[in-house]
Amino acid sequence: MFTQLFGHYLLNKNYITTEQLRKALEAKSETRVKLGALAIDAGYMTANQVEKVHEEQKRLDKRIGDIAVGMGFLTQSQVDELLSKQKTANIVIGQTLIDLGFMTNSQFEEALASYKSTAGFASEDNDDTLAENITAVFGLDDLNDKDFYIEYLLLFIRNIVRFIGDDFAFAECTKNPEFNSKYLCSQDITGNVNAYTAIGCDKEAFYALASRYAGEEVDDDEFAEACAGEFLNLQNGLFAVNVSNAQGIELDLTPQVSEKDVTLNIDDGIKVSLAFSFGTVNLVICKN
Amino acid sequence: MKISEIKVLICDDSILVRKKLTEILKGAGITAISEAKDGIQAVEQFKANNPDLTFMDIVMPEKTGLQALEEIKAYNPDAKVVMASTLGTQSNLTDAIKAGAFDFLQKPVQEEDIYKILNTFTKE
Repeated sequence: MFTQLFGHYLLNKNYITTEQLRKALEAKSETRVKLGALAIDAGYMTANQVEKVHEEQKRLDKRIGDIAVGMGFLTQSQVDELLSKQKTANIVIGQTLIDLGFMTNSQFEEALASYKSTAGFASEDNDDTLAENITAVFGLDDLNDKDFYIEYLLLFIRNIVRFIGDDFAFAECTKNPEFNSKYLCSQDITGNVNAYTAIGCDKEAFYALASRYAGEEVDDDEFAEACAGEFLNLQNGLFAVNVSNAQGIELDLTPQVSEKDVTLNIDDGIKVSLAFSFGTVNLVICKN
Repeated sequence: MKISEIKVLICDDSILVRKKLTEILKGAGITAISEAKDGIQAVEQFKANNPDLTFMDIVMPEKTGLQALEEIKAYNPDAKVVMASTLGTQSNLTDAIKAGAFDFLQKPVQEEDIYKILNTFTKE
């Protein structure tokens, strides 16, 4: 999840533009995280040391890890540890931005240190840490029913990664906004907890979201609405099951509703925008 | 009864789910498939086609899947109806079983789950 939150942070702090982030998201799947970026992330090397190793590699036909060990910047066991993280590295967005020339190693190091210190950021291997980081990045601390929103968001993020893809960054989170959406599907959670939930996008993003969930081409409104609606239904069904298991509270769902050109005046809720390479997906949650 | 001989009714308001289920059932060799997209149509289609096996979504417009199940069981107590939902809560499972459901299918629909249900049905 680090990739998504880090992308949001870079955008917010003006390290990169939205267009650069979009290009990086498109290129992300082709990126292989290099040892230097991993070493900076782990705090084993400075950006300056990485640059020195890269300079040295231009003269020597040796691998980066071997050169770094030879120059005394890393031990062999640190190299082995970093290489084992390479395939699952979650700093891929940073590496992609470096590869595209949007950031230097030094800027990456500075941004990463600043990001990690913002709210005591550590690895986000578990939901508790991720929840803390989402709360800090989005400023959700003062929300009524904060726990409800965090729990819903955590599940939504997991479902997005599982069913749609991980090539997104958090673009923004706004409280009580007015929101206009070309395509919108919504569903109410009812019972002991009542909430309005919706996913809204422009046509291109709505079709792309629907297509990824269905795993096939989507070329008409009815099918797009069915696919996006079913994704929302899946999210809410799993949320209801989680709440039922954890708190013994039984919830129901209303059938999904699809609308076009809708303006929502959100009185007591949030809108979370995810910037995918195909466009922006907006999630609206209002707990009544 | 062979799997290929089973007459199936799919009741779901989502065209995506109806399409996915139909693909899986056709892959299993089933050709007699009818569809309904809300609870009212579900009861009508059941009475019209007398299916051997019915897949019924719980959250549907007009009439819920559980209401449709009760009407179908009142019409034909031997009806085999599989309730399907993303909402796999204990109360939904209990309600479905109490209303006489044959099985419960947790969405999203997985091919192996459908095959298990078909195999169980043919052994009944």
